[in-house]
Amino acid sequence: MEKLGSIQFVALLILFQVGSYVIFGFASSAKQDAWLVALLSMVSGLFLTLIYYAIYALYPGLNYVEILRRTFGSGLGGLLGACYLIAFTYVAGRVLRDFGELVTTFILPRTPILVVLFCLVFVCYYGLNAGIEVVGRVAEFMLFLFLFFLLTQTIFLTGSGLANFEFLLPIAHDKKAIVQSLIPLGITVPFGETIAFLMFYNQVRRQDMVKFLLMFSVVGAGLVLMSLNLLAVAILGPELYARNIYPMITAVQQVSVADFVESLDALIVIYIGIAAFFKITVFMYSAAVGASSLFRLQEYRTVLIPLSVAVLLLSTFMSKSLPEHVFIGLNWVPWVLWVPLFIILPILVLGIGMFRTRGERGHVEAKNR
Amino acid sequence: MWKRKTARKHQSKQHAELLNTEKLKQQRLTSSLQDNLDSLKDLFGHSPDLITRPFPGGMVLCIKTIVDLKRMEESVLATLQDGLRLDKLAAVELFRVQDQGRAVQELLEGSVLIFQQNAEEAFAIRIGNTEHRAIEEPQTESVIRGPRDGFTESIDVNLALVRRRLKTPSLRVEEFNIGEVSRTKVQLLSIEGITSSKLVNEMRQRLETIRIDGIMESNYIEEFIEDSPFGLFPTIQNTERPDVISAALLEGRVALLVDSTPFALVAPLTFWGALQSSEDYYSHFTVATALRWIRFVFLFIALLFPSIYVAITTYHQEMLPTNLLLSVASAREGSPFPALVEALMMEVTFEALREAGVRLPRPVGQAVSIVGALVIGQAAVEAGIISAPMVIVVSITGIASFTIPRYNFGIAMRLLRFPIILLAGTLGLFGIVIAIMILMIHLSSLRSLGVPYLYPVSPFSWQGLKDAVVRVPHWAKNRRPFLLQSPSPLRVPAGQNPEPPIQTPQSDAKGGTDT
Repeated sequence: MEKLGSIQFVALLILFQVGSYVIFGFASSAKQDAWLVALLSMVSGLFLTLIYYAIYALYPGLNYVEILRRTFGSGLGGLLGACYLIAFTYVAGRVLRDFGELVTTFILPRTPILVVLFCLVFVCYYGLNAGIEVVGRVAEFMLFLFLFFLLTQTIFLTGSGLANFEFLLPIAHDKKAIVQSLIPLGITVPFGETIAFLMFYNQVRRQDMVKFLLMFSVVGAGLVLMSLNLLAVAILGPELYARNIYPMITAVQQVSVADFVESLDALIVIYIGIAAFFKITVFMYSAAVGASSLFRLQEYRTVLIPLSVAVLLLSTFMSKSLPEHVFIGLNWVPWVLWVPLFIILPILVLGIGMFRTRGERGHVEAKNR
Repeated sequence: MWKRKTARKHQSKQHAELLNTEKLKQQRLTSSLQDNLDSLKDLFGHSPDLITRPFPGGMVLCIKTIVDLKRMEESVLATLQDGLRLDKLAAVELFRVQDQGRAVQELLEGSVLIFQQNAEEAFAIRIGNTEHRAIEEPQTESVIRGPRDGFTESIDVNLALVRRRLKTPSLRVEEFNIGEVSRTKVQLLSIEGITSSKLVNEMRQRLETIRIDGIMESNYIEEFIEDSPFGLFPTIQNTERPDVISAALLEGRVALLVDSTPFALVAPLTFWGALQSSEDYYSHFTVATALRWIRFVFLFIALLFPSIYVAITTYHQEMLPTNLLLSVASAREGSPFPALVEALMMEVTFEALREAGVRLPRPVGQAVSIVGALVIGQAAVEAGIISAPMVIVVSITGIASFTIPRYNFGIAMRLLRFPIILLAGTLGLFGIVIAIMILMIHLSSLRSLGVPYLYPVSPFSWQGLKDAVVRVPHWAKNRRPFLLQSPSPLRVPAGQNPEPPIQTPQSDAKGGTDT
């Protein structure tokens, strides 16, 4: 089995978590308090990630499908595992569609969306065919590039004198909106999704570091999200921020430095492309690894081509238009998929697992006595 | 299907018979002088340069074209005047030959074979002529500051050049004869105690498995021992400079000297190593670092500039500042072709010009490039066939590709430009992003003798960065690259940075005037 280095794992995690945000804004309905939502969601994300790690710590060396089987038995566990695979494939398709819509909206208005989707899926397939270690190394390299992009973007945005931090006041004005955007979307979106990584915690080379790496990446990604939120609201103002589908890009479009650096939106699309690539790749990899252990295959690569085709078809036919796509994403997907699969089921697995191990320990102690 | 298979089998059998020297080795020399000479002459097909000379009590046999005739007359034939007496023979390399295989081998190495009447063995004295080109400045890797000697076609001279730089008994030289017909000498160089034995073993194993008729140049070997034979990027470095080889050995890498070519091989090679020149180490570290950064920037330009131009002028005009956009648009107004076609045409022409310039004799080559670059470029713009910005873009790209120090690495970049231009012309910046992602995945999956190609950036290594992204001073380069797994990783003891003496003469003088 290929092994992931520590930095590679963190880079994948951070790019994965930040990736969601740079496509659509984060918690835009909370308006100027979006950064507060980001902070709260980071805290809840820490708890969720701890739950996932606790599950893994009960069954070290196993992937999530194997854990589910161990917990619920082969039949029910396999069925639940299949649910996760379908969910991962579907979410990969969603992210792909998000990105396709973005590209056709901003930089290639006359290109058929299928071409864009196909190109990106092909890159993901190529990367996964080369192996998760290679993808990890690309992530390692890209993380530096990504941080560099973020830094330049921040400098340009603040340097253009566009940011008005008074937009952030009053703080925590609408508490109901904060709670609404936190539950369920804020809790699940960037951090709950890291349950996909539970499929390959066992491939991290330094097993003793996994917990630290997880916590580090959640805090890192949370802080990046928070500062981006602050910046976007300060530039667009709360109303525009809340109404825009792509607030971050709209913010960057305002940049104009010295009549030379103008309309950076095409550049933004580049780094969103990078983020989307890692997000889709991780979901696809988790689905492939899960499928290969579900069907007891030797190699996850055998399912890659059907999986890529499935993701491509799903992303093409999942919704007819962008508004429909966004509506489903904001209103249905969180309740149907994310809350049960990312929160309820893991807690159940953890509960059963802890009960069992305690029972076993008691059993062993009884025997010893 | 089965027919083809049997045909191949037959072929391989023939191949084995043609090249089998094992059989010769089993034929021992006989006690009859004439028999021995005749069978050897038969083997060589009575070649006119295979000559014999009698001496009292025996016969001398050699190939006159590859032995040093003067030494043969003075030290062999003169002492043989009164019969063979081993203690009188002034020879450095004297061998006993007992079978035909060895006799043939010695003859081809430039030995004189001395046969005696009624003896079942012969003596071989190596007096091959060591004629070689004078040691000259290497043509492909010229430096402003640094040693000016380069390898020649003679492997002995090349080894001597390396030995002169590394005066240590730990320099290990293993010799291989590769090529069933050509029997080309290949020497594997490493330093005991610095080079990881894993690396040496791996290289030895790869060399031993090569089956080929002949080696004409070190690239024959390179293609056999690469990790990824279909990749465009070189994963083994070639060099004409003995100082580069020596420095690589000191880092813990292995080197291969190949006879009859001045190009030696060094492995492993990383992406960043391919962007380094030996002069980086001979100029001040700040300058060297700055030059490296310029190379990184120009690497991007060499790879992407034409495609970015095509993408922006075709799809993303809004990215240009208004004034620039206006001047580009007015320049492009007259040109009949879309930017994509223009770019492809100009790039192909540029590559053709360069190829023509390389192949032609030097003075003519220069004329070609002047005519090509100035006259055609100027005329094409004035005639309104090509737009002026395109000519500028192509020229800058051309210059940028010259800043890459390793020629074969530069070629990879030049070739990759074309598919990226096509992608940029069809999908704009998105196409470029796709191309970069694929390129990154490919680069990340490459390995050179087991070392990841992008090391030390990914996988990340802080120590390794000291000699990849920057070039730290020699006193700060404390460790050998981690992934080479050198048994003695420590290279330069820490804390050697020079400082001015605490009491400078100046402060003394000042103190003196005060009192």
